[in-house]
Amino acid sequence: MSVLEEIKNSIITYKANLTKEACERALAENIPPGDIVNLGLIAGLEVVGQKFKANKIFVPEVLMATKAMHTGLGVVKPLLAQSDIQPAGTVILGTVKGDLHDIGKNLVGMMLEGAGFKVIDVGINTPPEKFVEAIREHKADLLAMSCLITNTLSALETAIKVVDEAGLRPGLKIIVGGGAVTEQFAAKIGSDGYAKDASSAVSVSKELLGIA
Amino acid sequence: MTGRAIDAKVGFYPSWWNKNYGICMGREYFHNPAYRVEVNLKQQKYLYERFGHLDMGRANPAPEPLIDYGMVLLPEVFGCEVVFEDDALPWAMPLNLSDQEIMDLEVPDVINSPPMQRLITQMDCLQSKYGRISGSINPTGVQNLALKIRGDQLYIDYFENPELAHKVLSVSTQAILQLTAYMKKRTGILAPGVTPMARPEIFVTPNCTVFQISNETFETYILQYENMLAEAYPPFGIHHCGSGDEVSQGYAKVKNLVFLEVGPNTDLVSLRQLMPEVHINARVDPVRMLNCTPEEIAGDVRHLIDTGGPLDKLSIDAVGCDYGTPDQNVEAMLKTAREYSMAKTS
Repeated sequence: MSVLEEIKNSIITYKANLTKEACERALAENIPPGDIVNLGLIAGLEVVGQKFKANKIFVPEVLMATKAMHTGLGVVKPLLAQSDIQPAGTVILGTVKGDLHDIGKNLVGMMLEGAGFKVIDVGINTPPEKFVEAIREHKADLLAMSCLITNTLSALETAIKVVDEAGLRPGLKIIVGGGAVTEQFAAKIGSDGYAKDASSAVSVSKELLGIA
Repeated sequence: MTGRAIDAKVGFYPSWWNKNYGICMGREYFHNPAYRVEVNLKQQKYLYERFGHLDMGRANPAPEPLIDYGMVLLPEVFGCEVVFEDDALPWAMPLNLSDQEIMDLEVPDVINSPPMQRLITQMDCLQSKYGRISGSINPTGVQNLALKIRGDQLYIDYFENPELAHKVLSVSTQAILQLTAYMKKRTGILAPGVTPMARPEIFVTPNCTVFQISNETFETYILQYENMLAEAYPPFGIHHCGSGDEVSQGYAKVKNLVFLEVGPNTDLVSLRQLMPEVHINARVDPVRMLNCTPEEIAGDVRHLIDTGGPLDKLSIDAVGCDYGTPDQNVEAMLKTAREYSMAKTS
Protein backbone atom coordinates (compact mmCIF):
# COMPACT_ATOMS: atom_id res chain seq x y z
CA MET A 1 0.00 0.00 0.00
CA SER A 2 1.38 3.44 -0.93
CA VAL A 3 1.79 6.04 1.77
CA LEU A 4 -1.02 8.08 0.22
CA GLU A 5 -3.27 5.03 0.42
CA GLU A 6 -2.24 4.67 4.06
CA ILE A 7 -3.23 8.27 4.74
CA LYS A 8 -6.55 7.76 3.04
CA ASN A 9 -7.12 4.56 4.96
CA SER A 10 -6.25 6.15 8.29
CA ILE A 11 -9.01 8.73 7.71
CA ILE A 12 -11.52 6.04 6.80
CA THR A 13 -10.62 4.07 9.93
CA TYR A 14 -10.47 7.18 12.18
CA LYS A 15 -6.86 6.61 13.26
CA ALA A 16 -5.44 10.10 13.84
CA ASN A 17 -2.09 8.81 15.08
CA LEU A 18 -1.64 6.80 11.85
CA THR A 19 -2.65 9.85 9.80
CA LYS A 20 0.03 11.93 11.48
CA GLU A 21 2.69 9.27 11.10
CA ALA A 22 1.85 8.59 7.44
CA CYS A 23 1.76 12.32 6.57
CA GLU A 24 5.20 12.77 8.14
CA ARG A 25 6.48 9.79 6.17
CA ALA A 26 4.96 11.13 2.94
CA LEU A 27 6.73 14.45 3.43
CA ALA A 28 9.97 12.60 4.12
CA GLU A 29 9.45 10.79 0.80
CA ASN A 30 9.19 14.22 -0.87
CA ILE A 31 5.58 13.74 -1.93
CA PRO A 32 4.20 17.21 -2.73
CA PRO A 33 2.02 18.58 0.11
CA GLY A 34 -0.81 19.20 -2.36
CA ASP A 35 -0.85 15.48 -3.27
CA ILE A 36 -0.86 14.50 0.39
CA VAL A 37 -3.91 16.67 0.93
CA ASN A 38 -5.78 15.82 -2.25
CA LEU A 39 -4.91 12.16 -2.79
CA GLY A 40 -4.62 11.19 0.87
CA LEU A 41 -6.59 13.32 3.29
CA ILE A 42 -9.39 14.60 1.06
CA ALA A 43 -9.72 11.24 -0.70
CA GLY A 44 -10.25 9.61 2.70
CA LEU A 45 -12.76 12.18 3.82
CA GLU A 46 -14.70 11.77 0.58
CA VAL A 47 -15.19 8.10 1.39
CA VAL A 48 -16.33 9.07 4.89
CA GLY A 49 -18.77 11.58 3.42
CA GLN A 50 -20.25 8.97 1.11
CA LYS A 51 -20.67 6.49 3.96
CA PHE A 52 -22.34 9.17 6.11
CA LYS A 53 -24.71 10.05 3.31
CA ALA A 54 -25.65 6.39 2.94
CA ASN A 55 -26.26 6.01 6.72
CA LYS A 56 -23.40 3.53 6.96
CA ILE A 57 -21.69 5.67 9.58
CA PHE A 58 -22.95 8.35 11.93
CA VAL A 59 -21.94 11.61 13.59
CA PRO A 60 -19.33 10.22 16.03
CA GLU A 61 -17.52 8.43 13.19
CA VAL A 62 -17.50 11.59 11.05
CA LEU A 63 -16.13 13.59 13.97
CA MET A 64 -13.36 11.03 14.41
CA ALA A 65 -12.53 11.10 10.70
CA THR A 66 -12.38 14.90 10.62
CA LYS A 67 -10.21 14.83 13.71
CA ALA A 68 -7.78 12.54 11.89
CA MET A 69 -8.00 14.86 8.88
CA HIS A 70 -7.08 17.88 10.98
CA THR A 71 -4.18 16.00 12.54
CA GLY A 72 -2.85 15.33 9.06
CA LEU A 73 -3.44 18.91 7.95
CA GLY A 74 -1.48 20.06 10.99
CA VAL A 75 1.54 18.19 9.65
CA VAL A 76 1.20 19.41 6.07
CA LYS A 77 -0.08 22.97 6.59
CA PRO A 78 3.28 24.75 7.09
CA LEU A 79 4.51 23.32 3.79
CA LEU A 80 1.26 24.05 2.01
CA ALA A 81 1.76 27.74 2.82
CA GLN A 82 5.24 27.59 1.36
CA SER A 83 4.05 25.85 -1.78
CA ASP A 84 1.50 28.64 -2.36
CA ILE A 85 -1.49 26.33 -2.62
CA GLN A 86 -4.67 28.38 -2.39
CA PRO A 87 -7.79 27.23 -0.55
CA ALA A 88 -10.64 25.97 -2.70
CA GLY A 89 -12.60 29.02 -1.56
CA THR A 90 -13.49 31.02 1.53
CA VAL A 91 -16.73 30.08 3.25
CA ILE A 92 -18.65 32.00 5.89
CA LEU A 93 -20.57 29.46 7.94
CA GLY A 94 -23.23 29.87 10.62
CA THR A 95 -26.69 29.03 11.86
CA VAL A 96 -29.23 31.79 11.42
CA LYS A 97 -30.61 34.05 14.10
CA GLY A 98 -32.74 32.11 16.55
CA ASP A 99 -31.10 28.76 15.85
CA LEU A 100 -28.88 27.49 18.63
CA HIS A 101 -28.09 24.04 17.24
CA ASP A 102 -24.49 23.64 16.28
CA ILE A 103 -23.52 20.05 15.58
CA GLY A 104 -24.78 20.01 12.00
CA LYS A 105 -23.05 23.29 11.27
CA ASN A 106 -19.84 22.00 12.85
CA LEU A 107 -19.95 18.89 10.69
CA VAL A 108 -20.39 20.98 7.55
CA GLY A 109 -17.46 23.16 8.60
CA MET A 110 -15.19 20.20 9.20
CA MET A 111 -16.14 18.54 5.93
CA LEU A 112 -15.59 21.77 3.98
CA GLU A 113 -12.22 22.32 5.65
CA GLY A 114 -11.37 18.75 4.87
CA ALA A 115 -12.19 19.42 1.23
CA GLY A 116 -9.74 22.31 1.12
CA PHE A 117 -11.99 25.29 1.86
CA LYS A 118 -11.06 28.05 4.27
CA VAL A 119 -13.96 28.13 6.72
CA ILE A 120 -14.85 31.13 8.86
CA ASP A 121 -17.33 29.86 11.42
CA VAL A 122 -19.37 32.77 12.76
CA GLY A 123 -21.24 30.47 15.13
CA ILE A 124 -24.84 29.93 16.10
CA ASN A 125 -27.73 32.41 16.40
CA THR A 126 -26.10 34.71 13.85
CA PRO A 127 -27.76 38.02 12.96
CA PRO A 128 -27.72 38.85 9.22
CA GLU A 129 -25.47 41.84 9.83
CA LYS A 130 -22.81 39.55 11.25
CA PHE A 131 -22.88 37.44 8.07
CA VAL A 132 -22.53 40.63 6.01
CA GLU A 133 -19.60 41.82 8.10
CA ALA A 134 -17.82 38.47 7.81
CA ILE A 135 -18.38 38.26 4.03
CA ARG A 136 -16.82 41.70 3.60
CA GLU A 137 -13.95 41.11 6.00
CA HIS A 138 -12.92 37.77 4.55
CA LYS A 139 -13.86 38.44 0.92
CA ALA A 140 -15.88 35.26 0.99
CA ASP A 141 -16.77 33.17 -2.04
CA LEU A 142 -19.53 31.26 -0.34
CA LEU A 143 -22.05 31.82 2.45
CA ALA A 144 -23.31 28.62 4.09
CA MET A 145 -26.22 28.94 6.49
CA SER A 146 -28.35 26.39 8.25
CA CYS A 147 -31.41 26.08 10.43
CA LEU A 148 -32.68 22.95 12.09
CA ILE A 149 -36.17 23.95 13.10
CA THR A 150 -38.92 25.48 11.03
CA ASN A 151 -39.40 28.60 13.14
CA THR A 152 -36.06 29.96 11.96
CA LEU A 153 -36.77 29.49 8.25
CA SER A 154 -37.83 33.11 7.99
CA ALA A 155 -34.46 34.13 9.46
CA LEU A 156 -32.80 32.31 6.58
CA GLU A 157 -34.83 34.30 4.09
CA THR A 158 -34.08 37.55 5.95
CA ALA A 159 -30.35 36.84 5.97
CA ILE A 160 -30.32 36.36 2.20
CA LYS A 161 -32.27 39.61 1.72
CA VAL A 162 -29.86 41.54 3.92
CA VAL A 163 -26.87 40.12 2.05
CA ASP A 164 -28.53 41.09 -1.26
CA GLU A 165 -29.31 44.59 -0.02
CA ALA A 166 -25.71 45.02 1.09
CA GLY A 167 -24.73 44.53 -2.54
CA LEU A 168 -22.61 41.48 -1.77
CA ARG A 169 -24.30 39.00 -4.06
CA PRO A 170 -22.15 39.43 -7.14
CA GLY A 171 -19.26 37.03 -6.72
CA LEU A 172 -20.86 35.32 -3.74
CA LYS A 173 -22.72 32.03 -3.77
CA ILE A 174 -25.15 31.08 -1.03
CA ILE A 175 -25.86 27.55 0.11
CA VAL A 176 -28.44 26.60 2.74
CA GLY A 177 -29.34 23.43 4.59
CA GLY A 178 -30.45 21.93 7.88
CA GLY A 179 -33.35 19.79 9.04
CA ALA A 180 -36.06 22.37 8.34
CA VAL A 181 -34.89 23.33 4.85
CA THR A 182 -36.12 21.77 1.64
CA GLU A 183 -34.75 22.17 -1.85
CA GLN A 184 -37.91 24.00 -2.89
CA PHE A 185 -37.63 26.43 0.01
CA ALA A 186 -33.96 27.04 -0.76
CA ALA A 187 -34.84 27.97 -4.35
CA LYS A 188 -37.78 30.11 -3.24
CA ILE A 189 -35.69 32.32 -0.96
CA GLY A 190 -33.00 32.87 -3.58
CA SER A 191 -30.29 30.52 -2.43
CA ASP A 192 -27.90 29.27 -5.10
CA GLY A 193 -27.66 25.80 -3.63
CA TYR A 194 -29.19 23.38 -1.15
CA ALA A 195 -27.40 20.70 0.81
CA LYS A 196 -29.31 17.90 2.51
CA ASP A 197 -26.36 16.92 4.70
CA ALA A 198 -22.72 17.72 5.46
CA SER A 199 -21.44 15.52 2.68
CA SER A 200 -23.69 17.15 0.09
CA ALA A 201 -22.55 20.55 1.34
CA VAL A 202 -19.08 19.77 0.02
CA SER A 203 -20.20 18.60 -3.42
CA VAL A 204 -22.71 21.43 -3.85
CA SER A 205 -20.15 24.04 -2.75
CA LYS A 206 -17.62 22.70 -5.22
CA GLU A 207 -20.21 22.73 -7.97
CA LEU A 208 -21.25 26.31 -7.19
CA LEU A 209 -17.66 27.51 -7.27
CA GLY A 210 -16.86 25.55 -10.40
CA ILE A 211 -14.35 23.27 -8.72
CA ALA A 212 -13.95 19.85 -10.25
CA MET B 1 -69.66 -3.12 12.69
CA THR B 2 -68.33 0.28 13.75
CA GLY B 3 -64.65 0.91 13.37
CA ARG B 4 -62.33 2.39 15.98
CA ALA B 5 -60.38 5.56 15.25
CA ILE B 6 -56.77 5.64 16.34
CA ASP B 7 -55.55 8.38 18.64
CA ALA B 8 -54.27 11.31 16.58
CA LYS B 9 -53.13 14.75 17.67
CA VAL B 10 -51.59 17.89 16.24
CA GLY B 11 -49.45 20.24 18.34
CA PHE B 12 -48.00 23.63 17.54
CA TYR B 13 -44.57 25.15 18.06
CA PRO B 14 -44.36 28.35 20.20
CA SER B 15 -43.80 30.49 17.11
CA TRP B 16 -47.20 29.36 15.77
CA TRP B 17 -48.82 30.69 18.95
CA ASN B 18 -46.70 33.80 18.98
CA LYS B 19 -47.26 34.84 15.39
CA ASN B 20 -50.92 33.84 15.20
CA TYR B 21 -52.12 35.01 18.61
CA GLY B 22 -49.34 37.02 20.25
CA ILE B 23 -48.89 34.38 22.93
CA CYS B 24 -45.42 34.51 24.48
CA MET B 25 -43.88 31.29 25.75
CA GLY B 26 -40.62 32.72 27.02
CA ARG B 27 -39.17 32.91 30.50
CA GLU B 28 -42.43 33.94 32.18
CA TYR B 29 -44.28 30.95 30.76
CA PHE B 30 -41.86 28.58 32.48
CA HIS B 31 -41.31 30.57 35.68
CA ASN B 32 -44.78 31.88 36.47
CA PRO B 33 -47.42 29.16 36.95
CA ALA B 34 -50.32 31.64 37.00
CA TYR B 35 -49.23 33.04 33.63
CA ARG B 36 -48.89 29.50 32.25
CA VAL B 37 -52.40 28.56 33.40
CA GLU B 38 -53.71 31.72 31.77
CA VAL B 39 -51.86 30.96 28.52
CA ASN B 40 -53.23 27.44 28.49
CA LEU B 41 -56.79 28.75 28.88
CA LYS B 42 -56.28 31.10 25.93
CA GLN B 43 -54.74 28.32 23.86
CA GLN B 44 -57.70 26.03 24.47
CA LYS B 45 -60.13 28.76 23.42
CA TYR B 46 -58.16 29.67 20.29
CA LEU B 47 -57.85 26.03 19.32
CA TYR B 48 -61.57 25.56 19.76
CA GLU B 49 -62.36 28.61 17.62
CA ARG B 50 -60.04 27.45 14.88
CA PHE B 51 -60.19 23.69 15.03
CA GLY B 52 -63.19 22.91 17.25
CA HIS B 53 -64.72 20.92 14.40
CA LEU B 54 -61.69 18.62 14.71
CA ASP B 55 -62.22 18.17 18.47
CA MET B 56 -59.33 20.45 19.33
CA GLY B 57 -59.52 22.87 22.25
CA ARG B 58 -62.47 23.60 24.47
CA ALA B 59 -65.18 26.28 24.30
CA ASN B 60 -65.15 26.86 28.04
CA PRO B 61 -61.92 25.38 29.34
CA ALA B 62 -61.25 24.90 33.02
CA PRO B 63 -57.88 26.07 34.36
CA GLU B 64 -55.23 23.39 33.94
CA PRO B 65 -52.61 23.35 36.72
CA LEU B 66 -49.82 22.63 34.32
CA ILE B 67 -46.18 22.10 35.25
CA ASP B 68 -43.73 22.45 32.37
CA TYR B 69 -40.07 23.31 32.03
CA GLY B 70 -39.24 22.33 28.48
CA MET B 71 -36.25 20.00 28.37
CA VAL B 72 -33.93 22.21 30.34
CA LEU B 73 -34.34 21.45 34.03
CA LEU B 74 -31.53 18.91 34.41
CA PRO B 75 -29.11 20.82 32.14
CA GLU B 76 -29.76 23.88 34.32
CA VAL B 77 -29.13 21.83 37.46
CA PHE B 78 -25.71 20.97 36.02
CA GLY B 79 -25.03 24.65 35.32
CA CYS B 80 -26.03 25.14 31.68
CA GLU B 81 -27.21 28.59 30.70
CA VAL B 82 -30.81 28.44 29.50
CA VAL B 83 -31.98 30.67 26.67
CA PHE B 84 -35.68 31.54 26.70
CA GLU B 85 -37.43 33.02 23.66
CA ASP B 86 -41.06 34.08 23.33
CA ASP B 87 -41.48 32.08 20.14
CA ALA B 88 -39.27 29.03 20.68
CA LEU B 89 -38.72 26.22 23.14
CA PRO B 90 -36.12 26.95 25.81
CA TRP B 91 -32.63 25.80 24.93
CA ALA B 92 -29.75 24.84 27.24
CA MET B 93 -26.29 25.86 26.05
CA PRO B 94 -23.73 23.02 26.38
CA LEU B 95 -21.21 23.25 29.20
CA ASN B 96 -18.42 21.57 27.21
CA LEU B 97 -16.69 20.36 30.37
CA SER B 98 -13.05 19.29 30.09
CA ASP B 99 -11.71 15.75 30.68
CA GLN B 100 -10.72 16.64 34.22
CA GLU B 101 -14.01 18.37 34.97
CA ILE B 102 -15.88 15.26 33.83
CA MET B 103 -13.72 12.97 35.96
CA ASP B 104 -14.38 15.27 38.94
CA LEU B 105 -18.09 15.51 38.18
CA GLU B 106 -20.40 14.34 40.95
CA VAL B 107 -24.07 13.47 40.84
CA PRO B 108 -25.87 16.65 41.91
CA ASP B 109 -28.57 16.75 44.54
CA VAL B 110 -31.26 17.40 41.96
CA ILE B 111 -34.17 17.86 44.34
CA ASN B 112 -32.43 20.48 46.48
CA SER B 113 -30.91 22.34 43.55
CA PRO B 114 -32.19 25.91 43.00
CA PRO B 115 -33.84 25.17 39.61
CA MET B 116 -35.74 22.17 41.02
CA GLN B 117 -36.65 24.03 44.19
CA ARG B 118 -38.18 26.76 42.05
CA LEU B 119 -40.26 24.16 40.23
CA ILE B 120 -41.28 22.54 43.50
CA THR B 121 -42.49 25.96 44.67
CA GLN B 122 -44.49 26.20 41.44
CA MET B 123 -45.96 22.75 42.07
CA ASP B 124 -46.85 23.67 45.66
CA CYS B 125 -48.57 26.79 44.39
CA LEU B 126 -50.60 24.90 41.77
CA GLN B 127 -51.44 22.12 44.20
CA SER B 128 -52.73 24.50 46.85
CA LYS B 129 -54.83 26.45 44.36
CA TYR B 130 -56.22 23.62 42.24
CA GLY B 131 -55.76 20.55 44.40
CA ARG B 132 -53.79 18.76 41.70
CA ILE B 133 -50.98 19.15 39.18
CA SER B 134 -50.98 18.17 35.52
CA GLY B 135 -48.11 17.98 33.05
CA SER B 136 -44.66 16.73 33.99
CA ILE B 137 -41.00 17.64 33.85
CA ASN B 138 -39.07 16.38 30.86
CA PRO B 139 -36.15 14.23 32.10
CA THR B 140 -33.92 15.27 29.14
CA GLY B 141 -32.68 11.76 28.30
CA VAL B 142 -29.35 10.07 28.99
CA GLN B 143 -27.38 11.01 25.89
CA ASN B 144 -29.13 14.39 25.48
CA LEU B 145 -28.08 15.37 28.99
CA ALA B 146 -24.57 13.97 28.62
CA LEU B 147 -24.15 16.06 25.45
CA LYS B 148 -25.24 19.17 27.32
CA ILE B 149 -22.60 18.48 29.95
CA ARG B 150 -19.73 17.28 27.76
CA GLY B 151 -20.60 18.82 24.39
CA ASP B 152 -19.89 17.10 21.06
CA GLN B 153 -16.68 15.77 22.59
CA LEU B 154 -18.84 12.97 24.01
CA TYR B 155 -18.91 11.47 20.52
CA ILE B 156 -15.11 11.48 20.39
CA ASP B 157 -15.05 9.97 23.88
CA TYR B 158 -17.05 7.02 22.55
CA PHE B 159 -13.95 6.11 20.54
CA GLU B 160 -11.07 7.49 22.55
CA ASN B 161 -12.11 7.58 26.17
CA PRO B 162 -14.83 5.07 27.04
CA GLU B 163 -14.25 5.53 30.77
CA LEU B 164 -14.98 9.22 30.52
CA ALA B 165 -18.04 8.61 28.33
CA HIS B 166 -19.42 6.16 30.87
CA LYS B 167 -18.73 8.61 33.67
CA VAL B 168 -20.84 11.37 32.14
CA LEU B 169 -23.58 8.96 31.02
CA SER B 170 -23.71 7.43 34.49
CA VAL B 171 -23.91 10.80 36.26
CA SER B 172 -26.64 11.86 33.82
CA THR B 173 -28.60 8.67 34.52
CA GLN B 174 -28.38 9.13 38.28
CA ALA B 175 -29.68 12.68 37.95
CA ILE B 176 -32.59 11.50 35.80
CA LEU B 177 -33.42 8.81 38.36
CA GLN B 178 -33.58 11.41 41.15
CA LEU B 179 -35.96 13.62 39.18
CA THR B 180 -38.12 10.66 38.19
CA ALA B 181 -38.32 9.36 41.76
CA TYR B 182 -39.58 12.76 42.90
CA MET B 183 -42.17 13.13 40.15
CA LYS B 184 -43.34 9.54 40.47
CA LYS B 185 -43.98 10.06 44.18
CA ARG B 186 -45.40 13.54 43.86
CA THR B 187 -47.79 13.20 40.90
CA GLY B 188 -47.28 9.80 39.29
CA ILE B 189 -47.35 11.66 35.97
CA LEU B 190 -44.23 11.19 33.85
CA ALA B 191 -45.01 11.23 30.14
CA PRO B 192 -46.69 14.55 29.17
CA GLY B 193 -43.52 16.64 29.45
CA VAL B 194 -42.07 14.50 26.65
CA THR B 195 -45.09 13.50 24.57
CA PRO B 196 -48.85 13.86 24.75
CA MET B 197 -49.29 10.49 23.07
CA ALA B 198 -48.21 8.12 25.85
CA ARG B 199 -50.27 7.18 28.87
CA PRO B 200 -49.34 9.73 31.58
CA GLU B 201 -47.90 7.14 33.97
CA ILE B 202 -45.37 5.80 31.44
CA PHE B 203 -41.79 6.93 32.08
CA VAL B 204 -40.84 8.20 28.64
CA THR B 205 -37.24 9.15 27.96
CA PRO B 206 -36.45 11.57 25.14
CA ASN B 207 -33.81 10.27 22.75
CA CYS B 208 -33.63 13.31 20.50
CA THR B 209 -29.94 12.84 19.68
CA VAL B 210 -29.84 9.05 19.34
CA PHE B 211 -30.48 9.27 15.59
CA GLN B 212 -26.95 10.69 15.37
CA ILE B 213 -25.33 7.42 16.50
CA SER B 214 -25.15 3.87 15.22
CA ASN B 215 -26.95 0.94 16.77
CA GLU B 216 -23.58 -0.42 17.85
CA THR B 217 -22.81 2.79 19.74
CA PHE B 218 -26.29 2.77 21.22
CA GLU B 219 -25.91 -0.77 22.49
CA THR B 220 -22.35 -0.20 23.71
CA TYR B 221 -22.99 3.03 25.55
CA ILE B 222 -26.62 4.00 26.01
CA LEU B 223 -28.60 0.78 26.34
CA GLN B 224 -27.33 -0.15 29.81
CA TYR B 225 -28.32 3.24 31.20
CA GLU B 226 -31.73 3.19 29.57
CA ASN B 227 -32.28 -0.24 31.09
CA MET B 228 -31.42 1.21 34.50
CA LEU B 229 -34.17 3.77 33.98
CA ALA B 230 -36.57 1.18 32.58
CA GLU B 231 -36.04 -1.22 35.47
CA ALA B 232 -36.35 1.49 38.11
CA TYR B 233 -39.64 2.94 36.92
CA PRO B 234 -41.59 0.68 34.56
CA PRO B 235 -43.54 0.86 32.32
CA PHE B 236 -41.00 2.53 30.06
CA GLY B 237 -41.23 4.48 26.83
CA ILE B 238 -38.88 6.13 24.35
CA HIS B 239 -39.29 9.26 22.27
CA HIS B 240 -36.98 9.09 19.26
CA CYS B 241 -36.46 11.96 16.82
CA GLY B 242 -35.99 11.12 13.16
CA SER B 243 -36.03 7.68 11.64
CA GLY B 244 -35.84 4.90 14.20
CA ASP B 245 -34.55 2.35 11.71
CA GLU B 246 -30.89 2.35 12.69
CA VAL B 247 -31.36 1.77 16.41
CA SER B 248 -34.48 -0.39 16.32
CA GLN B 249 -32.46 -3.51 17.15
CA GLY B 250 -31.14 -1.77 20.23
CA TYR B 251 -34.53 -0.46 21.24
CA ALA B 252 -35.89 -3.99 21.06
CA LYS B 253 -33.50 -4.82 23.93
CA VAL B 254 -34.79 -2.09 26.25
CA LYS B 255 -36.59 -3.67 29.18
CA ASN B 256 -40.21 -2.96 30.08
CA LEU B 257 -40.68 -1.00 26.85
CA VAL B 258 -44.38 -0.40 26.18
CA PHE B 259 -44.27 2.81 24.15
CA LEU B 260 -42.05 3.95 21.29
CA GLU B 261 -42.44 7.25 19.48
CA VAL B 262 -40.58 7.50 16.19
CA GLY B 263 -40.01 10.25 13.68
CA PRO B 264 -40.68 10.47 9.96
CA ASN B 265 -39.28 7.94 7.50
CA THR B 266 -39.22 5.10 9.99
CA ASP B 267 -39.89 1.66 8.54
CA LEU B 268 -42.86 0.78 10.72
CA VAL B 269 -43.22 -2.73 9.27
CA SER B 270 -39.73 -3.72 10.43
CA LEU B 271 -40.22 -1.96 13.75
CA ARG B 272 -43.46 -3.84 14.33
CA GLN B 273 -41.80 -7.16 13.55
CA LEU B 274 -39.18 -6.45 16.19
CA MET B 275 -41.63 -5.13 18.76
CA PRO B 276 -45.07 -6.65 18.18
CA GLU B 277 -46.47 -5.66 21.57
CA VAL B 278 -45.11 -2.11 21.88
CA HIS B 279 -47.42 0.82 21.26
CA ILE B 280 -45.94 2.85 18.42
CA ASN B 281 -46.62 6.54 18.00
CA ALA B 282 -45.61 7.57 14.49
CA ARG B 283 -44.92 11.20 13.82
CA VAL B 284 -45.77 13.19 10.73
CA ASP B 285 -42.93 15.46 9.67
CA PRO B 286 -43.60 19.10 10.71
CA VAL B 287 -41.57 20.25 7.70
CA ARG B 288 -43.99 18.37 5.43
CA MET B 289 -46.93 19.75 7.43
CA LEU B 290 -45.58 23.19 6.57
CA ASN B 291 -44.78 22.61 2.92
CA CYS B 292 -46.98 19.87 1.50
CA THR B 293 -50.52 19.80 0.18
CA PRO B 294 -53.39 18.32 2.19
CA GLU B 295 -53.45 15.40 -0.25
CA GLU B 296 -49.79 14.67 0.43
CA ILE B 297 -50.33 14.83 4.19
CA ALA B 298 -53.30 12.49 3.88
CA GLY B 299 -51.05 10.13 1.90
CA ASP B 300 -48.40 10.24 4.64
CA VAL B 301 -50.99 9.39 7.26
CA ARG B 302 -52.49 6.54 5.25
CA HIS B 303 -49.01 5.11 4.77
CA LEU B 304 -48.37 5.17 8.54
CA ILE B 305 -51.68 3.45 9.19
CA ASP B 306 -51.08 0.86 6.48
CA THR B 307 -47.64 -0.02 7.83
CA GLY B 308 -47.83 0.58 11.60
CA GLY B 309 -50.64 -1.74 12.65
CA PRO B 310 -52.19 -3.46 14.49
CA LEU B 311 -54.18 -0.29 14.91
CA ASP B 312 -54.92 -0.83 18.58
CA LYS B 313 -51.20 -0.36 19.13
CA LEU B 314 -50.70 2.64 16.85
CA SER B 315 -51.24 6.37 17.22
CA ILE B 316 -50.14 9.28 15.05
CA ASP B 317 -49.26 12.85 15.81
CA ALA B 318 -47.79 15.91 14.20
CA VAL B 319 -46.12 18.10 16.79
CA GLY B 320 -44.01 21.18 16.37
CA CYS B 321 -46.19 22.52 13.57
CA ASP B 322 -44.98 26.00 12.81
CA TYR B 323 -46.44 29.32 11.77
CA GLY B 324 -47.49 29.01 8.17
CA THR B 325 -48.66 25.42 8.46
CA PRO B 326 -51.89 25.43 6.43
CA ASP B 327 -55.01 24.75 8.49
CA GLN B 328 -56.06 22.40 5.72
CA ASN B 329 -53.04 20.22 6.52
CA VAL B 330 -54.05 20.02 10.17
CA GLU B 331 -57.50 18.98 9.03
CA ALA B 332 -56.12 16.49 6.51
CA MET B 333 -53.88 14.93 9.14
CA LEU B 334 -56.56 14.49 11.80
CA LYS B 335 -59.46 13.56 9.54
CA THR B 336 -57.44 11.03 7.58
CA ALA B 337 -56.07 9.44 10.75
CA ARG B 338 -59.52 9.08 12.22
CA GLU B 339 -61.54 8.19 9.15
CA TYR B 340 -59.01 5.90 7.49
CA SER B 341 -58.32 3.96 10.68
CA MET B 342 -62.06 3.62 11.34
CA ALA B 343 -62.60 2.34 7.84
CA LYS B 344 -59.81 -0.19 8.23
CA THR B 345 -61.19 -1.55 11.49
CA SER B 346 -64.86 -1.74 10.54
